[in-house]
Amino acid sequence: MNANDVCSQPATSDERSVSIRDLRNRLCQFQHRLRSNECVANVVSTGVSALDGILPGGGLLRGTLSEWIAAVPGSGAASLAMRVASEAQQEGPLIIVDRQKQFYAPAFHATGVCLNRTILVRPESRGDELWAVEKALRCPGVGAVVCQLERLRMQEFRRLQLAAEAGTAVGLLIRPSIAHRQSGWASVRLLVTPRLSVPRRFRRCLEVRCLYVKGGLADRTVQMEVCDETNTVCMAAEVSHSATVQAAGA
Amino acid sequence: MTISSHDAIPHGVRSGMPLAEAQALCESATFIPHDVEADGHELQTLALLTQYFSPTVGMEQSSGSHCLVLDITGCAHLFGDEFGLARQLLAELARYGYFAHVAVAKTIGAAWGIARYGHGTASDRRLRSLPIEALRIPDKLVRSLQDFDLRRIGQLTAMPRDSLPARFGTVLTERLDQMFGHREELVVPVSRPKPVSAKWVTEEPIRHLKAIEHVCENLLVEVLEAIRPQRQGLLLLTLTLKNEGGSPVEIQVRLAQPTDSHRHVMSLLNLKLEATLLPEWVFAVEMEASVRAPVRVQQRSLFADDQPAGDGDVRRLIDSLSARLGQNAVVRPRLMPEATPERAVGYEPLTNPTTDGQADSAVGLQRPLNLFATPESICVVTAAPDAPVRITWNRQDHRLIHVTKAERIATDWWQETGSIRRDYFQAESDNGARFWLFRDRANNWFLHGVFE
Repeated sequence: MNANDVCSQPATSDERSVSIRDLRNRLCQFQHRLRSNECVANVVSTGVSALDGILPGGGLLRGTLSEWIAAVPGSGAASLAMRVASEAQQEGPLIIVDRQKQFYAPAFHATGVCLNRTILVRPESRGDELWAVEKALRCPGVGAVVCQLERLRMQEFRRLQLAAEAGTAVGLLIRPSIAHRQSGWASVRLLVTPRLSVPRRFRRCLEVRCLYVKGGLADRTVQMEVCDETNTVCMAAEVSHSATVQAAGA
Repeated sequence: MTISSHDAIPHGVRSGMPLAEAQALCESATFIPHDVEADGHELQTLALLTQYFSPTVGMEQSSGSHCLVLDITGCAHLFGDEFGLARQLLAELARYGYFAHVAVAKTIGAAWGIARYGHGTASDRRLRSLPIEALRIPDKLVRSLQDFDLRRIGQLTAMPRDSLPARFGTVLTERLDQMFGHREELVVPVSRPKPVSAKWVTEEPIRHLKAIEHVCENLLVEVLEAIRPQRQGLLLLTLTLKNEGGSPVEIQVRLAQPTDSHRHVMSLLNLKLEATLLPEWVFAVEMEASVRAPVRVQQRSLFADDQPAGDGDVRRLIDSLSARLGQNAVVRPRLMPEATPERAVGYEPLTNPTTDGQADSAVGLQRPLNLFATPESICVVTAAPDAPVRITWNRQDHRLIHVTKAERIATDWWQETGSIRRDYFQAESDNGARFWLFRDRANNWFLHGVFE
């Protein structure tokens, strides 16, 4: 059952979209039955319903890594990751490993992160940085771990993924645009691209494209608007799903 | 209601009053639950402070009141006379913020009675005029004596002595004798806790890290065994390595929560030993439990699954991270009421928290998630003084589409940073990136942060 079968359906676009949706639902059900008990309790909502919609299970799984790739510097990837972290803070403290001393606490409030349950770790060397992230991911009782990593080798990435599996934290790695071309060990890879916010000023328009989801359905994109005055995120429009149905095995 | 502050008394709030009534009388007051343990600790600290006036300072054993007993035999002449000592003691306590009643008498009972219920000299006649509550007897006994209309100590002393024990128990006669000096009562002094340490000395100096670790393990076992009977745990462990010729090397292991776990402390100590430059030939190792605190014992439930994972695990994580990266590398951010953005946040080490308060939230200010440690100088092309049009940053040109109005942040000359005046702008570039720039007094443009 793949997308090519759809083309032989009747020509009217309504009926086509209905059957596409129908096929997709059935595929979803298959996936859910095949997947073992990764129960709903283990899923952390991203805090943005639009983003939850494109992730299987409605959010990020605990004990996994997710990669947030910023297409350009200043794209807003880190603030989205912090929104997820604020949701995960309910289960345990948020640990931010910040080697370059760049995370600025007064901006946390806008993303919903509570300063009282935040621990900032500022190592000096890169080795210490990776060690701290690994240790934090392994520790039970930690809600989320956020780190901005420029370069990450495959072995290091694999170590972090194993550490995340051993613990219960949500690992959020913020990566620069070069990571787009590299493969990784994260369960979820999201590319965040800013779009020009016209005509209303200072409502940021972001496009989030799900590059890869473990056990996920499609390469989906969603556009959202971040309103600066009220610090809320709402869906701007859902871009149509790309033609290839990509089902990565669990 | 156990006790109220001076400011609340005019409203009619008194000790012994029900809480609801007190709340009704004085709504603007803050009501704090009575922490008896904390009071006890505070009193012990005060007792150690007042050792300046007398070598023997104890706490009054009988009642729940906050009372210190000082034995000033032979000390009074150092402060002039007894009045002088009492006055200086009051002044010293006032310096620490405590308001006290001081009484000097021949016996503990007499001094206690006068301090609480009387004034003037503690002569026998004065003592007899005190109310019976001054005898340190239980409330029930006080009430039963009052039923018999015996309200003054004088009435009790007037009665035949043999009849008192039969009616009211031996406590009454004991206290009467203690007050008038016919029976001895000792002061139980408060002692400073002795430091717990363990030492290892050798004739053949050692050099290898493994050997030093082995020695430390044994010393740690000794130290923990010494403090475990008192139900205490380590908060700060100091390890001193002495070698011939050089100065001793000191290593400190600080913990976030008192612990008596050998494994946990040893793992932190190993981290520290690996990170420190050890002296060449070590001939003596000394380990001291510098700071100790009572360990909170947690009862384990029968089923390990019910236990919530956390707090202990996170504390251990903080300890490990601090041990390897340094105490100042594991911090909690706190917002400071400063205008300058780089000073608007302070960092408080988690293993040594100085304050335990809540962080205030910055109200309504939009700040970038990514702030550079030092603002980077950039080239800006402007159409008007307040309208930058193009910036060059990181060897890239960005054309600015939207720019907000200027937000002026200015500090005055008496501040530590000196007088700064910066006009901050949020600018959105053509590819959607959002920057935080400012122009300073000299019209130079800087990039301070990026809205990641």
